[in-house]
Amino acid sequence: MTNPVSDARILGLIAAYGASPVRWPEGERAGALARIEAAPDRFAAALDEARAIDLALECAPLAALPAGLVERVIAAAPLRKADPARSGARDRVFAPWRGWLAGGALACLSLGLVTGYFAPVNLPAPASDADTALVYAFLDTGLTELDQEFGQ
Amino acid sequence: MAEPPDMADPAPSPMAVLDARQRSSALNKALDELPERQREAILLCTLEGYSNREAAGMMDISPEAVESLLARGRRALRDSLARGPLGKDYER
Repeated sequence: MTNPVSDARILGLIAAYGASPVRWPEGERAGALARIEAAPDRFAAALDEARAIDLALECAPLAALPAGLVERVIAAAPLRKADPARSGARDRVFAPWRGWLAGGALACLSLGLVTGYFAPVNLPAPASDADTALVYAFLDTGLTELDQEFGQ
Repeated sequence: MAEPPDMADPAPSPMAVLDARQRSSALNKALDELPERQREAILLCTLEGYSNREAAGMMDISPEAVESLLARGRRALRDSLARGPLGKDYER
Protein backbone atom coordinates (compact mmCIF):
# COMPACT_ATOMS: atom_id res chain seq x y z
CA MET A 1 0.00 0.00 0.00
CA THR A 2 1.44 3.34 -1.02
CA ASN A 3 0.99 6.57 0.83
CA PRO A 4 -1.10 9.02 -1.17
CA VAL A 5 0.73 12.08 -2.45
CA SER A 6 -1.14 15.29 -3.23
CA ASP A 7 -1.12 16.84 -6.68
CA ALA A 8 0.61 19.94 -5.34
CA ARG A 9 3.32 17.80 -3.80
CA ILE A 10 3.84 15.91 -7.06
CA LEU A 11 4.25 19.18 -8.92
CA GLY A 12 6.74 20.19 -6.24
CA LEU A 13 8.69 16.96 -6.72
CA ILE A 14 8.81 17.48 -10.48
CA ALA A 15 9.89 21.11 -10.06
CA ALA A 16 12.70 20.18 -7.67
CA TYR A 17 13.93 16.81 -8.89
CA GLY A 18 12.88 16.72 -12.53
CA ALA A 19 10.81 14.30 -14.56
CA SER A 20 12.68 11.12 -13.69
CA PRO A 21 11.07 9.35 -10.70
CA VAL A 22 14.36 7.72 -9.73
CA ARG A 23 15.48 11.13 -8.48
CA TRP A 24 12.40 11.67 -6.31
CA PRO A 25 12.60 10.89 -2.60
CA GLU A 26 12.07 7.18 -2.21
CA GLY A 27 9.34 7.48 0.40
CA GLU A 28 7.09 9.46 -1.94
CA ARG A 29 7.98 7.87 -5.25
CA ALA A 30 5.43 5.04 -5.38
CA GLY A 31 2.55 7.23 -4.24
CA ALA A 32 3.43 9.96 -6.70
CA LEU A 33 3.72 7.48 -9.58
CA ALA A 34 0.36 5.94 -8.72
CA ARG A 35 -1.29 9.35 -8.76
CA ILE A 36 0.37 10.33 -12.05
CA GLU A 37 -0.76 7.08 -13.60
CA ALA A 38 -4.31 7.83 -12.49
CA ALA A 39 -4.33 11.38 -13.88
CA PRO A 40 -1.54 11.71 -16.46
CA ASP A 41 -2.96 14.81 -18.14
CA ARG A 42 -2.75 16.77 -14.91
CA PHE A 43 1.04 16.44 -14.81
CA ALA A 44 1.96 16.18 -18.49
CA ALA A 45 2.91 19.83 -18.93
CA ALA A 46 5.06 19.91 -15.79
CA LEU A 47 6.79 16.68 -16.81
CA ASP A 48 7.47 17.97 -20.33
CA GLU A 49 8.95 21.17 -18.98
CA ALA A 50 11.10 19.26 -16.50
CA ARG A 51 12.34 16.88 -19.21
CA ALA A 52 13.75 19.81 -21.19
CA ILE A 53 15.81 20.87 -18.18
CA ASP A 54 16.77 17.25 -17.44
CA LEU A 55 18.07 16.90 -20.98
CA ALA A 56 20.06 20.11 -20.68
CA LEU A 57 21.58 18.91 -17.41
CA GLU A 58 22.44 15.57 -18.97
CA CYS A 59 24.71 17.58 -21.26
CA ALA A 60 26.64 18.72 -18.20
CA PRO A 61 29.45 16.19 -18.69
CA LEU A 62 30.04 17.78 -22.07
CA ALA A 63 29.83 21.28 -20.67
CA ALA A 64 33.14 22.22 -19.17
CA LEU A 65 32.02 22.86 -15.63
CA PRO A 66 34.27 25.25 -13.76
CA ALA A 67 37.36 23.27 -12.90
CA GLY A 68 37.23 21.80 -9.43
CA LEU A 69 33.81 23.24 -8.61
CA VAL A 70 32.27 19.93 -7.55
CA GLU A 71 35.36 19.03 -5.56
CA ARG A 72 35.27 22.41 -3.80
CA VAL A 73 31.60 21.98 -2.88
CA ILE A 74 32.21 18.53 -1.47
CA ALA A 75 35.41 19.52 0.29
CA ALA A 76 33.61 22.39 1.98
CA ALA A 77 30.73 20.20 3.13
CA PRO A 78 30.50 20.09 6.95
CA LEU A 79 29.38 16.45 7.04
CA ARG A 80 32.32 15.36 4.97
CA LYS A 81 34.69 16.96 7.43
CA ALA A 82 32.82 15.77 10.51
CA ASP A 83 32.35 12.15 9.47
CA PRO A 84 35.32 10.55 7.72
CA ALA A 85 33.38 7.27 7.61
CA ARG A 86 31.26 8.83 4.90
CA SER A 87 34.28 9.62 2.79
CA GLY A 88 33.30 6.86 0.37
CA ALA A 89 29.78 8.21 -0.04
CA ARG A 90 30.57 10.10 -3.18
CA ASP A 91 32.08 7.12 -4.90
CA ARG A 92 29.33 4.82 -3.66
CA VAL A 93 26.52 7.12 -4.73
CA PHE A 94 28.21 8.43 -7.83
CA ALA A 95 29.19 5.04 -9.21
CA PRO A 96 25.68 4.07 -10.40
CA TRP A 97 25.45 7.46 -12.08
CA ARG A 98 28.49 7.00 -14.22
CA GLY A 99 26.42 5.08 -16.71
CA TRP A 100 23.77 7.78 -16.53
CA LEU A 101 26.32 10.48 -17.19
CA ALA A 102 27.79 8.52 -20.06
CA GLY A 103 24.28 7.98 -21.33
CA GLY A 104 23.64 11.67 -21.01
CA ALA A 105 26.70 12.47 -23.03
CA LEU A 106 25.57 9.97 -25.63
CA ALA A 107 22.08 11.49 -25.59
CA CYS A 108 23.52 14.94 -26.17
CA LEU A 109 25.64 13.74 -29.03
CA SER A 110 22.69 11.83 -30.47
CA LEU A 111 20.55 14.94 -30.21
CA GLY A 112 23.17 16.86 -32.11
CA LEU A 113 23.49 14.12 -34.71
CA VAL A 114 19.73 13.90 -35.20
CA THR A 115 19.49 17.65 -35.46
CA GLY A 116 22.32 17.70 -37.92
CA TYR A 117 20.87 14.85 -39.92
CA PHE A 118 17.39 16.28 -40.25
CA ALA A 119 18.17 19.97 -40.38
CA PRO A 120 19.07 20.02 -44.09
CA VAL A 121 15.67 18.45 -44.91
CA ASN A 122 14.00 21.59 -43.67
CA LEU A 123 16.30 23.98 -45.45
CA PRO A 124 14.86 25.61 -48.54
CA ALA A 125 18.13 25.20 -50.40
CA PRO A 126 21.49 23.54 -49.84
CA ALA A 127 23.71 25.44 -47.46
CA SER A 128 25.72 28.03 -49.28
CA ASP A 129 29.46 28.43 -49.00
CA ALA A 130 28.79 31.41 -46.77
CA ASP A 131 26.72 29.27 -44.39
CA THR A 132 29.41 26.62 -44.30
CA ALA A 133 32.04 29.23 -43.65
CA LEU A 134 29.97 30.62 -40.80
CA VAL A 135 29.70 27.18 -39.22
CA TYR A 136 33.40 26.48 -39.55
CA ALA A 137 34.17 29.89 -38.16
CA PHE A 138 32.77 28.64 -34.85
CA LEU A 139 34.68 25.41 -34.91
CA ASP A 140 38.24 24.84 -33.85
CA THR A 141 39.14 23.41 -37.23
CA GLY A 142 38.45 26.55 -39.18
CA LEU A 143 38.43 26.96 -42.91
CA THR A 144 42.02 28.06 -42.86
CA GLU A 145 43.19 24.57 -41.99
CA LEU A 146 40.99 23.08 -44.66
CA ASP A 147 42.35 25.53 -47.18
CA GLN A 148 45.87 24.56 -46.21
CA GLU A 149 45.01 20.88 -46.45
CA PHE A 150 43.64 21.27 -49.94
CA GLY A 151 46.32 23.73 -50.95
CA GLN A 152 43.95 26.59 -51.66
CA MET B 1 36.85 1.04 -64.47
CA ALA B 2 33.74 2.00 -62.51
CA GLU B 3 34.04 4.68 -59.90
CA PRO B 4 33.56 3.53 -56.30
CA PRO B 5 30.20 4.50 -54.80
CA ASP B 6 30.01 7.63 -52.68
CA MET B 7 30.42 6.86 -48.99
CA ALA B 8 28.58 8.80 -46.32
CA ASP B 9 30.89 10.63 -43.95
CA PRO B 10 30.33 9.00 -40.54
CA ALA B 11 31.60 12.07 -38.68
CA PRO B 12 29.04 14.40 -37.07
CA SER B 13 28.05 17.19 -39.38
CA PRO B 14 29.38 20.68 -38.65
CA MET B 15 25.83 21.73 -37.77
CA ALA B 16 25.51 18.88 -35.25
CA VAL B 17 28.83 19.76 -33.66
CA LEU B 18 27.85 23.41 -33.50
CA ASP B 19 24.49 22.54 -31.94
CA ALA B 20 26.13 20.36 -29.27
CA ARG B 21 28.62 23.11 -28.50
CA GLN B 22 25.89 25.69 -28.25
CA ARG B 23 24.00 23.52 -25.79
CA SER B 24 27.07 22.90 -23.66
CA SER B 25 28.02 26.54 -23.70
CA ALA B 26 24.50 27.70 -22.83
CA LEU B 27 24.28 25.24 -19.94
CA ASN B 28 27.68 26.19 -18.62
CA LYS B 29 26.72 29.87 -18.71
CA ALA B 30 23.36 29.20 -17.07
CA LEU B 31 24.98 27.18 -14.28
CA ASP B 32 27.55 29.89 -13.80
CA GLU B 33 24.84 32.51 -13.37
CA LEU B 34 23.03 30.61 -10.63
CA PRO B 35 23.31 31.75 -7.03
CA GLU B 36 26.00 29.68 -5.34
CA ARG B 37 23.73 27.62 -3.07
CA GLN B 38 21.35 26.76 -5.91
CA ARG B 39 24.31 25.68 -8.04
CA GLU B 40 25.66 23.57 -5.17
CA ALA B 41 22.32 21.82 -4.71
CA ILE B 42 22.03 21.04 -8.41
CA LEU B 43 25.61 19.83 -8.64
CA LEU B 44 25.26 17.54 -5.65
CA CYS B 45 21.78 16.13 -6.32
CA THR B 46 21.50 16.17 -10.09
CA LEU B 47 25.03 15.80 -11.34
CA GLU B 48 26.71 13.94 -8.48
CA GLY B 49 23.70 11.79 -7.65
CA TYR B 50 23.42 12.45 -3.92
CA SER B 51 20.00 12.13 -2.31
CA ASN B 52 18.37 15.25 -0.90
CA ARG B 53 19.18 14.05 2.62
CA GLU B 54 22.83 13.46 1.79
CA ALA B 55 23.08 16.84 0.09
CA ALA B 56 21.36 18.43 3.07
CA GLY B 57 23.98 16.98 5.38
CA MET B 58 26.79 18.16 3.17
CA MET B 59 25.35 21.65 2.84
CA ASP B 60 24.38 21.79 6.53
CA ILE B 61 20.75 22.61 5.76
CA SER B 62 17.46 20.71 5.90
CA PRO B 63 16.27 18.40 3.09
CA GLU B 64 13.37 20.79 2.57
CA ALA B 65 15.82 23.63 2.04
CA VAL B 66 17.73 21.53 -0.49
CA GLU B 67 14.49 20.86 -2.32
CA SER B 68 13.67 24.56 -2.38
CA LEU B 69 17.14 25.36 -3.74
CA LEU B 70 16.74 22.68 -6.41
CA ALA B 71 13.36 23.99 -7.53
CA ARG B 72 14.55 27.59 -7.67
CA GLY B 73 17.76 26.55 -9.38
CA ARG B 74 15.99 24.56 -12.06
CA ARG B 75 13.55 27.42 -12.65
CA ALA B 76 16.42 29.85 -13.00
CA LEU B 77 18.23 27.47 -15.35
CA ARG B 78 15.14 27.19 -17.54
CA ASP B 79 14.75 30.98 -17.66
CA SER B 80 18.42 31.43 -18.47
CA LEU B 81 18.41 28.78 -21.19
CA ALA B 82 15.21 30.24 -22.65
CA ARG B 83 17.04 33.53 -23.20
CA GLY B 84 19.86 31.78 -25.06
CA PRO B 85 20.33 30.83 -28.72
CA LEU B 86 18.38 27.58 -28.22
CA GLY B 87 15.66 29.25 -26.21
CA LYS B 88 12.81 27.79 -28.24
CA ASP B 89 13.55 24.40 -26.63
CA TYR B 90 12.81 25.82 -23.20
CA GLU B 91 9.78 28.01 -23.87
CA ARG B 92 6.85 27.24 -21.61
